[in-house]
Amino acid sequence: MRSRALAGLARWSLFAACVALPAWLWPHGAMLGYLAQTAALVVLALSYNLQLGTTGLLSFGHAAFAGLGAFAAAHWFNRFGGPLPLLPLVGGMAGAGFGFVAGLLATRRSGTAFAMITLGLGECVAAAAWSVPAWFGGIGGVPIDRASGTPWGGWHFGAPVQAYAVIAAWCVVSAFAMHALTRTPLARLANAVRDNPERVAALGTDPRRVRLAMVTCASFFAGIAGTLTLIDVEIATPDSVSMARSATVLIAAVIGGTGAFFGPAAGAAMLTALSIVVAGVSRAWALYLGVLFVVIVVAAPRGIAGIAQALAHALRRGAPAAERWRMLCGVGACMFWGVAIVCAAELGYAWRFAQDDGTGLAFGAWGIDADTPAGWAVACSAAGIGTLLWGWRARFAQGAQSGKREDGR
Amino acid sequence: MNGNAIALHGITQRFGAQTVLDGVELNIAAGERHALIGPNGAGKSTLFGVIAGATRPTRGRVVLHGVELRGRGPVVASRLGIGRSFQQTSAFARLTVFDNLRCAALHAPAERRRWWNRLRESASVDLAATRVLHDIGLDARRDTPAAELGYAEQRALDLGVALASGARTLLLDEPTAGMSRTQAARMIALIRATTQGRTVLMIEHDMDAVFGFAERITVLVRGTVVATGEPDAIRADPVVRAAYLGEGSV
Repeated sequence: MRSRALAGLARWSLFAACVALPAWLWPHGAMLGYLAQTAALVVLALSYNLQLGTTGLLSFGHAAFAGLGAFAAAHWFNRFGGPLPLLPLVGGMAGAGFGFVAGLLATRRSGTAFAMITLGLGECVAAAAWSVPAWFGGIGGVPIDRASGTPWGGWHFGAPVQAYAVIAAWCVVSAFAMHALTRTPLARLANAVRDNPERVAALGTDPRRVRLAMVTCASFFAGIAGTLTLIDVEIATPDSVSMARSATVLIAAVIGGTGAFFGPAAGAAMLTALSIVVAGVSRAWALYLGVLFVVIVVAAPRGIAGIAQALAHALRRGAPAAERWRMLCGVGACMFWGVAIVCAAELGYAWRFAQDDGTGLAFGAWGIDADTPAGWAVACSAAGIGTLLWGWRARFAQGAQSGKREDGR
Repeated sequence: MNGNAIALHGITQRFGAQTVLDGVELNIAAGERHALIGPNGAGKSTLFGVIAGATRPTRGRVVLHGVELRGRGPVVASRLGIGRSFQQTSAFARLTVFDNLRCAALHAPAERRRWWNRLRESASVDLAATRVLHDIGLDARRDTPAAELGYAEQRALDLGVALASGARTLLLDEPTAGMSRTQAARMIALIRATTQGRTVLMIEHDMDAVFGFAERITVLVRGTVVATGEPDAIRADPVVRAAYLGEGSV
């Protein structure tokens, strides 16, 4: 019991450190922008998991509530002002309101029907964002001036550091609130609805009401996430309610792993890193994201959180050597395949663009020349080594299993 | 308690052209142990669905503890005191045994109206769940996910979920299906011990279990009740012998 409490404390300290430390060490614009984007997506992905992981509801329109919350907050801020640090509450309330109304319709069903209804509602909101410019501001969106609110203790929140302090604080507080929510009997009932709705109905709770409650809560935190983005970029754009944004949060949650509370947060951090850091050095980042997503869904359905748990399990004290070798081979195989895929993708892009405009392509510091066979040789050999390692891993697996069987007898 | 726990009047259930239940009349007194038997396809599970509100009958009235259900669905039926175990093993697979029971204990009549129970752990809910956990003999498996239990344990948990919900009347659909003879005997003993003072309506194929357990038996054949009575009378009834027991192993 005590070790579990310690592990929880360690996790929360690590989370808070990840949010706060980089901003404290490197407080310049690009870093703060990256962190603010990550923090907003972390909140959105965690709120998404209140539906997907906790209640078993796959939604294709979750960003709509974040975006609508952001628009409501932007209009509120431009009309009534008020202190900026309380603005996410306005966005959250608006998100919860819209989520409740949409949930009345969507939670009549679960499973595929729920997913389809949310897809339709998401499309409706995305379409409305373009066709009602009076409210959504058309192509320009609805801008705010974040320094125009009521100042707090000498802070006007115009400076990026001050704005990020607001975002970081809300990120940690929201994550904590969502974690507390997942520990309530209501969330346990939502787990029960996920596992077996008929049985919950036979106990005397309408599963639909549980779903509606969870969708409303998730939309509240989505509204907060949307407002955090608004505070960061000082504009609410129709892009924020787009289906692409909904897909992003779905991908982040699945990559991170929906089974663990912090899984989606890890996925969100990974996704932002890919879309900002990797996108800065390579044109193929979307391809890498797609490959990563497919690999996770096929080979590691429990996501980054599941991989981390498996690693910790293999490295625990007293683990059998075969298990450790197996894990080592798996990690090695993944790394070599990663190298192979990156080499092949970069060479392919280089070859393509060399034909198009004749300019050379660079991956970071390295110039890439698709015509030399060296790069292709590296790609092929890395793939070969990866496959070899994977084969060894399978042999360890068989060894471990037959060992277990002998133990059993 | 006076009156009937369950009263069915002229229940008819049609799925398309097929008539599954045809004018079923059934009264089960409060506190009674009643068994429902019949050959495969007689409509026993459909009748359970009707009583529990999961299926709305084509015609007829369902009266539960003196209140007419009027097709209002399983949530209302359970509020009228009906608890149910399922034929398919159907606890909440990814929750632990204890959490399964806590979810159910949240619905006991005394806890149901305390909305704050949904937001905060409640000592009385935990206590009720612990008591049921002990009753069904799964103390050692408290923190095991339900999906990892053995088959007989899962059936015991399924019974436990129905018990913890505090229902006055329990519908048990083949609680010993697929069990070995010893497991089945243990399950029947468990049901007998844990359902003291409650009404039990049980579908069962194991004739030893039925005749040892029930105070009254109803025989359902092709959607109609062919006999209702005490075990000895049922055993002697020529219509029942011809329709059902003759095919069996008694």
